[in-house]
Amino acid sequence: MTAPLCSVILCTHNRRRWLGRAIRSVLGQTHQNLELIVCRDGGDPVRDIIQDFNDPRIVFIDRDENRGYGASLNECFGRARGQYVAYLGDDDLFYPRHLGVCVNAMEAAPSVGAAYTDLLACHANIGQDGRIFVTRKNIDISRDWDRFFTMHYNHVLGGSLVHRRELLDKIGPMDTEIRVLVDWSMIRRMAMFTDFIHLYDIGGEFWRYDESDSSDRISDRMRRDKRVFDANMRRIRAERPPKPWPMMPDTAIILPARSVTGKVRKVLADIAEHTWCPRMTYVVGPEWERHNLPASKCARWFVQNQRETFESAILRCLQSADADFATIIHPKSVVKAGWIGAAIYNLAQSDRRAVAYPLANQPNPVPSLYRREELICAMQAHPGESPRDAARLGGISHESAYPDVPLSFDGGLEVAGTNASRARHDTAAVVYSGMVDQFAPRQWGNPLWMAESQAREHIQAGRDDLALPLLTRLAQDRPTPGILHALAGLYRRQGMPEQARMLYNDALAMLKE
Amino acid sequence: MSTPNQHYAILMDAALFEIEERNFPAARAHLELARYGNPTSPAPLIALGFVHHAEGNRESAAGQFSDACRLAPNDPLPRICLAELEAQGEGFHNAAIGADKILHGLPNDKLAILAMLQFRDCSGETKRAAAELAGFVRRTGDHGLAKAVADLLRYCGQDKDAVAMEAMA
Repeated sequence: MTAPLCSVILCTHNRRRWLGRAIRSVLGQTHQNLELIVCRDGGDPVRDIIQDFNDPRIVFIDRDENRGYGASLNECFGRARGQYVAYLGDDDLFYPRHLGVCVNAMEAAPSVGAAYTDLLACHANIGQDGRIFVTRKNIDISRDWDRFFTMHYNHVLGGSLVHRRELLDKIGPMDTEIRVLVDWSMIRRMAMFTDFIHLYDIGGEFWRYDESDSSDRISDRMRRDKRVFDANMRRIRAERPPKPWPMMPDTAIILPARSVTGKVRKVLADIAEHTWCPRMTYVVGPEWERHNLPASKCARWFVQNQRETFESAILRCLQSADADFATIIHPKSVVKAGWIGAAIYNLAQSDRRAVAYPLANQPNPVPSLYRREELICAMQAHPGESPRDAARLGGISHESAYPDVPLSFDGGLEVAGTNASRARHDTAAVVYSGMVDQFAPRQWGNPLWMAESQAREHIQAGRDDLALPLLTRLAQDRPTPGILHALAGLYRRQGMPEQARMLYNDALAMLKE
Repeated sequence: MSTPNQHYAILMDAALFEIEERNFPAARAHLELARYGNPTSPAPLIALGFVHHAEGNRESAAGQFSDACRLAPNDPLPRICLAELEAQGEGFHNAAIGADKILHGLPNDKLAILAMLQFRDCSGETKRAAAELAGFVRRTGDHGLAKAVADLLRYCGQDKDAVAMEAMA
């Protein structure tokens, strides 16, 4: 059987020194049925480097203008022929099994659209003599797939991702205005269409060649400008790929307003700032106020007809909104961090019908989040009632508490971290251990990450006996310099110098460039 | 399981291990690379001084300590090392081994804890060293050290612990 074709996309800008290494790592994959699309996005010429490889699998796109990563990706998407698509930074590298491991995992799970491995984050200083000293190599992020977390924060590194080609058709083109967190923009949209598989292999390395704050990487430069960074964040959170989104509910936020006052503007700005799930805000008001609505991808004006009640206009708005969930808020509503996330999360997780969850930190009467269809039925059955009363009369149960908390894994991490910072290392180790069991049924156990954290706390607590089996297993399953170093220390303390020496040398060998 | 300069930390650890094992060529190789990787730290130079001294090469040892003095003129440890070398030429290798011992099961060895203090101070971990020293005083009841440790804790901004330590003096 022929292995499926895999397209690897590599966009490059002023990285002549590292580009050859990146290309070699792609062409040296165990999965050989691949094409490599190299797109020069302005900067230093690299044609000579490409020609040196003399490999027909390389497709070279040579653009003199620096158009940005998003624009380059869009061009590469149009050229990619593979059944699977992967990405590599121009100064990063794949380990030889990366594509094979990811493709095999997805071939075995046809319903899953994407897979990702872990990457070693490599930091290095370049001396005045040009020599490179690697300062550290760690797995900074190794997190099991969590769709809601992805809406909030990216935990899938672009260079570790392999996905099916058809996802690109679903998510649409990249927004070329986004210059920071471009990977997240893509992954976040993919999360609306598919599950991801997290594979515990180390798929490669991504590099940072400067410990100082002076990295010349375009995305790093922009990241340092908070205004630009925040604008990008808002833009990404406002992205709405073409529907249907089989994996992610859409939420309609309805805001009745007779005019666009300062309070209304503030609520709209706060919604953009603090809402991390996909949403559309409908401001329900008279036609003559429409032009005052600030321009936004995620806010629309819904016209309240003359002499029409707000209840009637809200019902029509609900009927026309293309959303799964809906809430009706007030210009005095409190919109701050976490205001709607828990309600969306719980409604999305719940199998219960006719249930509504409250928005957090709201003044009375607390608005709730409903399933849109259920609220429509209730309002149609009880015309003239306020949406909340209609929902109550229609048998929708207004819950006052959340059965589950979004980002609860992170809550556990915080508990463990607090214990560790107060030198309660035994307790921190127990928390880490418990988290694996608690979250494993939901496939968020993060067993390797938690085992490493647990081992660190055992060492801090002086419990080498408990740390040893954990580190031994980690050193076998997925060694990193940090793990080998810690294990070497344990062997030293146990009077086993040969094992210690071997581990020190292994750790140091991994830290070579 | 990482420090900002993980590579340097592993090199220093591996070098101390090799000193302990009297495998001086390996220790020297690690220390030379550590020196390149963290050129502002005097610790690799001091450890190299220990290695040269243990190999019987006092002149080279003095050279390393002098370099360390120049690199970190405000750090007392290289000066102490140099002065001790000039005075008697003994104790440095023991200090290095002693420093290691504190990590490896002799938590109440006074020589080791003092050497460790110097090592930690040298590598910018004075606060940690003060905490370890305070632990040593509490464990062993060595009231003679308590006043000095209290001063050190105060220097590190840990006034509350310093008061408790002064009470033991």
